[in-house]
Amino acid sequence: MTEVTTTRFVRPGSLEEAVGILRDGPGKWTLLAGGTDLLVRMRDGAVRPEGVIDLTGVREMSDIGVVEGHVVVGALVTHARLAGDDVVRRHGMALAEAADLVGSPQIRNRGTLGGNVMNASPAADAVPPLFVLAAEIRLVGPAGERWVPVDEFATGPGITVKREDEILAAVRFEAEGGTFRSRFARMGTRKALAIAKVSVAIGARRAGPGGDLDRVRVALGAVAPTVIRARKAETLLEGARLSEATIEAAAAAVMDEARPISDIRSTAEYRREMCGVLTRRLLNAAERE
Amino acid sequence: MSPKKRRFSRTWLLGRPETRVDGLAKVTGEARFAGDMDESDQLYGAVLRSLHPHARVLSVVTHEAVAVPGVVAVLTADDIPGSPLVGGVIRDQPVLVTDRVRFLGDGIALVAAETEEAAQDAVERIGVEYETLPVVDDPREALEAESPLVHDDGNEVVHHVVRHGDPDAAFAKAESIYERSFTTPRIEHSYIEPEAVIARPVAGGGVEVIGSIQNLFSTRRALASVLGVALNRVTVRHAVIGGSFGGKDDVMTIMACRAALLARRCGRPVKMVNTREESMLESYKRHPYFLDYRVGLDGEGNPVAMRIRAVADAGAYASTSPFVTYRSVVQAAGPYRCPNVWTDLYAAYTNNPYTGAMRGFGSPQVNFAVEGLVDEIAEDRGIDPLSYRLQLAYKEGDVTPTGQVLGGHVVSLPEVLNKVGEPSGFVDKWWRYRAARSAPKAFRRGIGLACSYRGVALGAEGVDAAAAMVQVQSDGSVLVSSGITDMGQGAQTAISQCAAEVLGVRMDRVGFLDTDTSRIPDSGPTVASRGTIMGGSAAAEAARRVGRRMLDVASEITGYSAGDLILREGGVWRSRVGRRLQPLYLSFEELAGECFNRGRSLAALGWFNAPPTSWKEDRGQGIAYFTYVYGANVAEVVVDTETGRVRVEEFWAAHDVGKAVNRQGVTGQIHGGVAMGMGYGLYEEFEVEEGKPKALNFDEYLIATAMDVPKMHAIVVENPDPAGSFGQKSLGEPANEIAAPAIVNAIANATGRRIRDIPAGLERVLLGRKLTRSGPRGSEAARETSCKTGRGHT
Repeated sequence: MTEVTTTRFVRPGSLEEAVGILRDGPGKWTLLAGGTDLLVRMRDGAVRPEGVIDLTGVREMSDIGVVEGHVVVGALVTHARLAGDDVVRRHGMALAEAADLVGSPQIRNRGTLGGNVMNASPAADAVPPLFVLAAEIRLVGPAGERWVPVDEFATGPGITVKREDEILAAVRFEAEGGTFRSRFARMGTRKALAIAKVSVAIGARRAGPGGDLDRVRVALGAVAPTVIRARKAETLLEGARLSEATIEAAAAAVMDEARPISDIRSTAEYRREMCGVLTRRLLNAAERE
Repeated sequence: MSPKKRRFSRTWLLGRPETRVDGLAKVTGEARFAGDMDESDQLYGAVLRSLHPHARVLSVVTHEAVAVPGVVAVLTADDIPGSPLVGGVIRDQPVLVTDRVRFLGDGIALVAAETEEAAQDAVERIGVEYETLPVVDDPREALEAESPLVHDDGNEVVHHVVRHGDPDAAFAKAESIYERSFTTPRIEHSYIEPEAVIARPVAGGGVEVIGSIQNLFSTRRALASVLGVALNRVTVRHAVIGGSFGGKDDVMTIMACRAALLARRCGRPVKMVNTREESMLESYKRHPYFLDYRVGLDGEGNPVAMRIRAVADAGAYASTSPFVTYRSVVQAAGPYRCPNVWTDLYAAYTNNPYTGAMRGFGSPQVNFAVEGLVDEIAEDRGIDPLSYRLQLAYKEGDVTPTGQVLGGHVVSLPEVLNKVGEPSGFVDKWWRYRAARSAPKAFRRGIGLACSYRGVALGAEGVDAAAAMVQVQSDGSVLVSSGITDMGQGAQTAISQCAAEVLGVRMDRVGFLDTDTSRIPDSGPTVASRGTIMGGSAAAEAARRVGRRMLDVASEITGYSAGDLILREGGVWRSRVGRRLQPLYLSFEELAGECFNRGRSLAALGWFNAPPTSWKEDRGQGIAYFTYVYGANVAEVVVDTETGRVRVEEFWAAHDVGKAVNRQGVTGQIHGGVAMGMGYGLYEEFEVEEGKPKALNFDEYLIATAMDVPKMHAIVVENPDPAGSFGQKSLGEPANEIAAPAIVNAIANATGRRIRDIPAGLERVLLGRKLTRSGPRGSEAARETSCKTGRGHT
């Protein structure tokens, strides 16, 4: 059995303290939240941190609340909690649905929203929902805080705009669940414990049943180096009413915009096809609502 | 005693759901697996494995490794005192390679060190110079004349034939002919516990080895040969084993030999434990098969001729390939009457991971092919697949392609077919779902059927005998031991039950000793679903011997004739024809104490020899197995025709087990077998490209989880067989061997499309084909995670 050994391990009690430790040793520290990804990579030898900052003692990063019209989700909130949280379900159903599909109960109990975002995997379940919710990422560093739109956060697989001295502290999105609806769907090889072959999240505001759509957002997972927005499909749907024709056109546009590759989990051809199917199904379900 | 005339009296204990003798320790965590065991002065062993699937090893430089602090020994093949090669059938697999590596799991050097870290560090400092050789990765190409050789005497491991009748003449007269090709994947056993062993040197040049070892006596033979000592200098025991499914045979033998070499060299115990990645890299798999079937039918749809050719990928070493393909060649035509069958079964060496025993042992591959084909023919002929199978299915007196007349036991194929057909509503649903295919619906239902016959135990593969020891203590408690290994399948419970049944005591009086090669005779390997019939029959025999001595004493005490006395319900009863049992108020405990006081032996060894088999290899004719079991499975599925997702909703599995010993165990075997077979049909493939595995852990090698498993109906059919002590036969493998074709036939019922290559993954169900991986996954490439073999392999 491979031993996971590190030279230093610290568990700060506040965000301020954590930022201070990072500032004093830039590049030396790796941040630990749920550990569902980090520990696996340390065991593989893919990551060999000099030191680990365990963030689980930072209480202020563990809450879900509504602040000034925004739902603010702390980076340490687990998938299990996201999936069952009333506020999240009301204002960001797609996020709750995605959280409910992550891994297994054990992983959902450990894994966090912040970790899922920081991983910057194109297949991360929580990220397409954050795209359609127009979420922003709160980064806190020695110079204070900044908010980055989620679709600017990851720039490639495993690569983000977060600086080495910053900590991803929270995610926020508008609390407008009264009018804005979002849904998430994914395809995996089996029901549980399967990383998505492809995922789709769609969100829009609609003026009552059968009404026109606006603020439409469509996000695709696992079909490009990062999660991407399907902007052509968004444009097609913006101001439109859901009908068989618009749904088909949107599905075709999504397939056109996907840039999938073939890998061990699926083939490019299949992924492209599934983007269309999932889009059609999500929109059909919305039409029936 | 003539097998035909055996009659079975009612059992009083057997057949009930029994709590497993090993259950409590496992759920409380008290059970100790080999990885949990430590010796105070132990060293840790590590292996340097090959970097190339096929290469000449020009030099191995170890001095840097030797210098690592904490390193006690570094060994290469030169340090092996006995034979460097092992192998149960063909001795072709090196414990450590000398001059050539043939797959990525080959070991080149060993290190023993005070810590795991030092051992690992040292392994990485061993320098190896290779000269790469062309990689042979397709067994069909391996058999071609111009193929590079994996072993110098040719790439053909074995070629079995069956020559029965004259298919060519029959094809000429056939009304219709089907030619179909099938492929089945290489799969991993996926036992939850990776391999682990501790070897301790003992006086006289020998060793004691304990580990997650399935076939203790095979491992002992190899150890003696590698160390160059006699069998009585080597003791092999198994720790609690966390699953095997046929998988802890050769790979454990090699690991045990390596640990033993280090232990002897260092004079200290050596522990070796594989990571999951090492396990998946090094351990053998289920053979991938390439199968071509040609079937000719008469006007009534009865098969009149079959020509079958199949090539199995043996990988780098022979392992059990000759026996695996033996079972395939015997059973390839399925349980259907056909007077003219010629079959050719090849196994070929490649530079892929080697393949060997896995639950089913050559049957899942041929069952998938023949069951798909029969299903297709039924549909083409406008007959439902159940009625068609009943038309062709073996009945008593039918002749198999090996010329064996089926008889002496109940040929229960029609019975098991009907026992899944009726409760599942198969025929009605099959027609309805077929009719519904024309409707433009995304989600479609389907129902599928598969059946099989299977030879019990080893058959003409080899000597088939087993031992068990029963010792009654002076307080009436009982100790049972046997040469059959429990690796989670419940052998200890079933074998104990057979002894308890005969001694008339409840299971709480019985303890089971873990198997130890120095304390019980060589009972052959625990394979071929032979544990309950062989070990159980041996235990019954041992118990009868002890029981007879006890009844003699009971006779002396009570004055009744020993022939009129029986042991039952924890005491002695008087049993006379036509009368009710009469209690004699002499408890088993009192009787045991009395026997002890009178100096009577209360220990006996039972030896059970399987009935005879025969085999003529040149034409593949003979009594291939002494008896057969019969099973049928029905799967009901929902296919999402837009995504290719298949959900197995409900499953019916009927198996004739002869006699259920532990009803709980029977149900458990069926549930587990179906879940495993489902993975074979839908999810699993251990993909290898150019000799390199693409996935080495369960994040990417996907098996069915509890979330995927359907509602299951285990239907236990009992037709006691004259061969077993109580009529018991086999179940472990039958339960696993036909789930995949039942599911794939259900997909065909739902969609109208026949899938002839498994696994039927989403892409294959939707697109009808599967594209191969063209590179690392995107996120991995960015992280530059170059290799995931855990350790020692970068």
